[in-house]
Amino acid sequence: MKQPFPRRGRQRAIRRRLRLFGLTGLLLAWMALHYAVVGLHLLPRNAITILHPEFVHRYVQPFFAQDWHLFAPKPPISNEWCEIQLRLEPIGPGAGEPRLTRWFDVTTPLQKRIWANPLSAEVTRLRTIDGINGQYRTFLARRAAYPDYATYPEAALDADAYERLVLTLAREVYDPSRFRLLAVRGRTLIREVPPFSEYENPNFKPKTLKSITSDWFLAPGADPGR
Amino acid sequence: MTTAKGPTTTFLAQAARALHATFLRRPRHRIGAAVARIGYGLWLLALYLQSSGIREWVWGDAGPFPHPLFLRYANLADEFSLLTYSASPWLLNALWAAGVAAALLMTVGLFTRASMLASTILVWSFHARNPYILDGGDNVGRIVLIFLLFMDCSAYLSVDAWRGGGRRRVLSPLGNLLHNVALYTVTLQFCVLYLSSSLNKVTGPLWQNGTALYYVLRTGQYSNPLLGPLLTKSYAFITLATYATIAVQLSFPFLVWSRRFRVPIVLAVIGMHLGIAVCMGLVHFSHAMISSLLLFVPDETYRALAARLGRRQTRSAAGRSPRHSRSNGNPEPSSGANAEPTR
Repeated sequence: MKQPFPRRGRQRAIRRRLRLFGLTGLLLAWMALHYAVVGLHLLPRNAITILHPEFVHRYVQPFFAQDWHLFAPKPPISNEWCEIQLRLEPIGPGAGEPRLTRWFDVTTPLQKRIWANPLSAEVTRLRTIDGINGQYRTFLARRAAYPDYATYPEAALDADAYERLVLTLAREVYDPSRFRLLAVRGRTLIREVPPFSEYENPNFKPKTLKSITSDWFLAPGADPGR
Repeated sequence: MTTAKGPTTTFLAQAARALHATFLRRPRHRIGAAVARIGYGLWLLALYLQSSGIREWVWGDAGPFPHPLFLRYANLADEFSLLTYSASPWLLNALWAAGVAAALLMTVGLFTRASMLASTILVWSFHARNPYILDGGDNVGRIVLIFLLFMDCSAYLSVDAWRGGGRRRVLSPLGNLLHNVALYTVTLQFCVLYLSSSLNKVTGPLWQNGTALYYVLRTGQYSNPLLGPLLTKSYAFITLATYATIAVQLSFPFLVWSRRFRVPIVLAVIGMHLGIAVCMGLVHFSHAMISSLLLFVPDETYRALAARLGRRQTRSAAGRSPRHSRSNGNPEPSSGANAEPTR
């Protein structure tokens, strides 16, 4: 059968094709703009990101924020341990004075369990502990440089998360039927990895590069005077 | 009668033809998209099941990041999460179960698009709930999952395809366009990723002098206790592996566009990530990276691989069968219904 309006049909097909090409062009333009902004986000601070930080930040946050340093430019060159120390009060008749515990190593037992089973739940636990610990170290460094830094909401959040972390970890290491937790503090030890020049020297003793000790954090309901 | 065309018209016609062939004619890498879907489905399942016993510690109030702190963080970082609505363990457990179900459906390819959308929303919610656990693999996974939503990931290796009787769904030109633009966006994302990482490495003194991997493999966190001491004893291995890492990452953004070098460079990068998983214990990170990289393998390569595996299976079945055994003096299977078609 002869088509009644062949010209109209062809025009419609051409219009549809033009719309598709237009859309392709738009999507390609978006792709170019997207990677231009992502590139600016990944590059070191430059004139554009210094003058218009909001533009880049608003575009990449939260969906396209990224960081691809992947151990560069400086790979980890030290071993780090997170430790906690508790101030405990014995419970019951004839209970003695409050006492300080030894430092409990939180990191090493977790690392051992992870290497025994790299798919275990300890992976998530260690990442959480490392993440909060790292943020708290940044907080301590910035607070030392700018004393009013602690009043910033981000800084207060990092400090509160760390307090909650050490209190959570403390609950896992003492017997609540015999002791009451009064306070807890954390410490990060950073020890050097033997430098490459010493890699054949079995007698090399790695030095502790840094020991960062936190403030004491009171347990909920604990008497500050104890 | 011929009409004379100007150079602009010729250029526009050629550009239109190239655009049509690249973006509109057919969806590219459909098998790769299916493999990436399965890879990410398993990656999400691993995330949920790995933390199943301690989910209230990781994402709930029993751990170091309880709901009030999380709400403060969500306000500051402008983060989206379904877990902002309530601190109840019921909500956490319900969303966790939904996450497992969605990841399972995504892996097998049942209600693929809906399960992928649900998986993306849920994983964003869980990632936002505890930002401290995130690593590079989570970062890339979150971004790639968004783009996979626009791709046809169910055409192969899925229950949806099986329910369709093995007939591939023909996408509309718009479907082809979205699929291909998403594919190129993910490819560019990986180019940006490896370019950024390799340029950062090139500027690092320890990467320049070839000792970076020695230090990584001497740290307790990133050194396999069995392999680490063994590998760090060989300075030749350390130096070569350090430079090879930079070379592979730096060449990926250039070679992935070449038809000839695409498969070799993808295999090289997959090899690097397998090494990272085994030697450094970063299994979750490597899983996400490898799942994405399998998207870049062309359909023809997957088909050739399947054909080779099929031939090998046929040969081994023939070897087992007394009718076709070599002892019968008939090494090749006879032509029949199950025989491979000759090319």
